Order: sequence, then structure tokens, then C-alpha cells
Amino acid sequence: MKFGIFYEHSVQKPWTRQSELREYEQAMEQIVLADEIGFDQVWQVEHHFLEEYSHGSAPEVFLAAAAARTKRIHLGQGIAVCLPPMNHPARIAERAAMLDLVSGGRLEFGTGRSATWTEVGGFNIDPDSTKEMWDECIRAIPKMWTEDEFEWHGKYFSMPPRNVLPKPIQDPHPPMWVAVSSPETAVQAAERGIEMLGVTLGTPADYRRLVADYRRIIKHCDPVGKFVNNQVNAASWLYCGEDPNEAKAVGGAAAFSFFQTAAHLVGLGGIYPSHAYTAQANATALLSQAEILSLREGFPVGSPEEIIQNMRYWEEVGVERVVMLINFDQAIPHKKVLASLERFAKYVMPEFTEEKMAERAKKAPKTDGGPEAPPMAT
Amino acid sequence: MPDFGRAKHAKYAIDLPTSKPEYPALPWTCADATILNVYFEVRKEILLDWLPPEYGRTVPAYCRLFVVDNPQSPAGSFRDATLGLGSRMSMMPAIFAAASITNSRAALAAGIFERGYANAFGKIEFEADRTGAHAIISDEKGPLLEVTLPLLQTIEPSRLAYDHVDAIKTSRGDNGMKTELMVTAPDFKIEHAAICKNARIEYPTERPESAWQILNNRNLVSAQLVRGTRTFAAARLPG
Repeated sequence: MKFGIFYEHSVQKPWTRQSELREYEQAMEQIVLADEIGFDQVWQVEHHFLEEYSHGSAPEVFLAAAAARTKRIHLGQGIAVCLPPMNHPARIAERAAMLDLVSGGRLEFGTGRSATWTEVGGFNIDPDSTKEMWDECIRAIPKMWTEDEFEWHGKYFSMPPRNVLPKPIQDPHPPMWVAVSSPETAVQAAERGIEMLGVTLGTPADYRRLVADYRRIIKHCDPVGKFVNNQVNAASWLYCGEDPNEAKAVGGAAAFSFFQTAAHLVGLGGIYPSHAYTAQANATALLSQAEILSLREGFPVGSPEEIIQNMRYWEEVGVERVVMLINFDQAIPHKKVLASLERFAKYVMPEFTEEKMAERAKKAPKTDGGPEAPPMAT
Repeated sequence: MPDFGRAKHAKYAIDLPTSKPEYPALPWTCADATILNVYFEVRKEILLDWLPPEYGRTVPAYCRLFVVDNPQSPAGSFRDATLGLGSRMSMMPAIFAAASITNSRAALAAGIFERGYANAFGKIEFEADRTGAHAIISDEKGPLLEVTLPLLQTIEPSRLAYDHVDAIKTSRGDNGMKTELMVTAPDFKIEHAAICKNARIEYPTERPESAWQILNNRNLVSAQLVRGTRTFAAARLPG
């Protein structure tokens, strides 16, 4: 199992002219360290207008800076919002290809469509059409990357024959992902042969059905790109502390601040009933304060020993990688974040090498659900 | 940290009637009720001026306007309209009633003494059929707001649900008038639902002193017309 980190670029009030810069600079230092110590992916969201929660509206720009300062770590656009009124698909393809080139072929191309009224309404986009828009874009973009004369006449955008340039360095094109937060999208990812980028900060139990459906359906997929990518990333929260108490106090409090801010966003299902967004028009499922602070199983906040136990739940669900949010603005002091990453790399990562996981799989009693899960961490 | 409201409860204090009018005991089951419901964005600073400090504003700030036609109830037919502020309390979605009107003396009494809303008397014109809906809300000084749903499209009722509504209730305490925050439970069982993608909110006359116009529409989000059974019940203290 592999591990990555991701950034919302949260910036809490009060804001100064330096607030966002400080967030970006600290994130960059963390990414440089993550690259050196073995994290294999870093993702940045594309969000718009989500004050405090996310000031990360231009992932290609930030990831290009990260590319210049790192050597190995893959750079994930998590995601490029594939809605033509917000981002013309040709501009998405151009920017992604350029990032792939300047990073030496390290781009992981994430796609999606936004889930908040704040963003979709902010660009005057009809929420009912976003799923179809996304679907049209992800079918067009690989062709832009691989064809010298691309022409498109679709429902949501059209263009005459043009050579969309540059072409990416990865051959035939970068791996394609889609942000998944619902069972329907997990199925749609599998049907299209693209990777599942879990974006729900959940637990292994939350992901179990999504992963099972994805694995079953992708075997029979009709890929939108030139190849099939069968991989699942899960998203979670990381704080690898000095000891259990310190970890819960520092990491738990930061996670709570994050969820509290997230709760004040307006999800599309909340005020716009639409077949394209399945949540009902009332309370969305949110982790309660009690749930967050009790740190449900699989939530990697704890001492290294506790996190090893928690990561074994993810191993049992069968994800390829867990990608983790590592801070909420300054909720955790920057030095502690760096120390958390180092502890994780030193103590946790070695327990999840292919060899170690193969050994555990051999020893585990065979059941329908795969290796038995370890006892719940406390 | 979220921005919390800055309206003191006293902002919502009302003059209580000298005596408590008679009305049928709550809850009232109102069969065949119709709700015209509209979500629209408002300016955040204005919303914060009207939102009590227990609540945090959302991003973006929004209001929920709903007009209910109750053709049957133990108190007879009545209509009520509420302008709710979209918000969060303890991280969960909430709607706080910033203004409310009913055309029924019995519903007004029940609203004032047991719910916190509806707490003003007025006139509500309401028309709805399979194709569209229209309502005009007026208080005793005249029209405040007009909402039109010109074209309806049927949707699955399961796509919709409405959150509970909270309000400030004024009552007589040992040391004079007191105000307290009250919460109701979700009160509508939806049987038929339709959406409108070209709804309009208009302000027929200028009423700059009224919450109905101070919290004015900056961007209409969505509109629905639903039919079902409403339970007009007493509110309770939070927690």
C-alpha cells in the first residue's frame, strides 16, 4: 500500500495579504519533505469561492511549483473541474499536458464536477447537467492529448479541427482519475476504466462497498482513455503523533476544525434538488464532533502503533493508496506537521511494503471478505 | 471559524396579546397541504445582522422562503409564510425564522404561544395548479413579496426533504417578557413534488423597514412546489 498527501489550502480568518502565501509556502515545504521520505503522490483540489475551507483554485500553478522542487512524487490535479462553462476542455487538456511535461511525466489527472452550490452556482452552471458535462469532457480530453487533429461536436461544447498542444510526455497520456464520493460515481469510474479517487474523508467501512463495486465493474469496462487504470485511492486525515494522547489532542482538534468549516459549505443536494446529486435537500451526513474526537477505526490519527493498526483496515478493504489531509491551515503547527510526516514514514510505511502485506495475506485465514481485520484500535 | 450571527434575541421580541386566545390543541394534522418553497442567496453581512449567535452562516449565505396553504386543519383552512435564514447549528443544517406571517387568528395564536412562528398577521394570496404557482405575501401595511413559479416539472418526492425550522418565542416570565430559542421538528410528509427552473421573486412595493425586503434575493437557487401532509406542532427548547 502506498501513501500520499493532499491539500485543500484552507486559510482561516482573520486574513491578511500574507495568509494564503504562508499556507502555500508551508505546504511546499511539506511536499518537498514528503517527496524525500517516500510519499508517492501529492494532490491539490480545484475549489472556487469556498472561503476558509479551500483557497486552492489553480492546482496546475501550485503543482508546477511543486514539480520544480521535487524529484519523484507524483502530482495530482485533484481535480480539474470538467465543466465547460468553468473550464473549457481544451484549456484543461493544455494545462494538464504542460504540467505533465514540466514535471517529467509525474501528472495524475483527476477529474470531477464540483459538489457545492457555491461553485456551480457561482459560474451559473445548471446543476442538473454537471454529470453529463463531466462525461463529455473526460471522453474528449484523451483524444485531445493523442490526436493531431481533434474535432468535437457535443452537447456541451464543440470545436472545429485543431491540434491541441502541447501533448503530454506520458505515453499515451497521464493516468485519469475521478473524484468519488458516492456509490454511483464509483460505478461510473469503473465503467469508464478510470481510477477511483476517493474524496470522502471517511473510514474503511465507508469505502468497503465503493471499492467492491468498482473492482467488480471495471473488469468489464469500456475505457474512455487509451488504457484501463484499475486503482483506488482513499482519503483520510493524518496526524502521526508522539503518543496517543498528544496525537488525539493535536490531530483530533485539527480534524474537528476542518469538519466544522466543511459543515458550513452548501452542498448541492442541500438546496437544489437534482437527479445529478443524490443527497436529499436536507441534512447531509456529517461526522459529528463526538465521532471525530472518538477517532473512528481507520482514522489515522494516533501514535505510530495505533496508525499501523488503523491502516490495516484500509489494507483489508483493498485500496492501493491512502491520501491524507495533514493540516487545516495553522491548526497544527508547521513543525509538528513535518514531524508527523517523518514519524509516519519511519514507523508506519515499512509495515505496508508489498512483502509485509504478502506475508500477512498468507497468514490470514481465508474468508469471503479477504484477510480478517485487526482488532479495533482504541 | 465560521461567522456566527450577531442578532440579539431581543430583536425578535414581539408584543404579546393581553390574553391568550382560544385555539385547538396542537399538533394539527393538515392534510392536502401545499408548500411553495424557494431558496435564494442573500448578502452575508445582512444575514448575520438577523441571525442569532447560536448559528453560523453558510458559504454562500442563503434564505429559504416557504408559503404553506393548509386547506384542512382543526382550526380550519389557513395559510402561513416564513422567511428562514439558512445556517448551521452545531455543524448541522438549520433554518431560523426571521419573519413569518399567517392569515389565521388561531394559527397566529398557536404560533406566538407555542412555536415562535408564525408571529404576525397578514394576507397570503396563493394559487397553484399542475403547471405553476403564485403567491403574494402582505402584512397589515400592504404587499411585501411576490413569488411566481411559472412552469413546474414533476420530480420524485424522495429527492426532497425540508429541514426543521427554529424561531425565537416571546413569553411572559417571572421578571417580565423573555425570549427563548425554540426548535420544531421537520413537519412535512411529501407526497407529490415538482421543481421550477425559472421562478421569480418580486418586491411589489418598497418596504425597506421589513425583513422580507431587507433580506432580499441576490440570486435565486431553486424553487419547488410540493403537496403532502403537514404537522403543525408545538416547538421545544433545543437540546
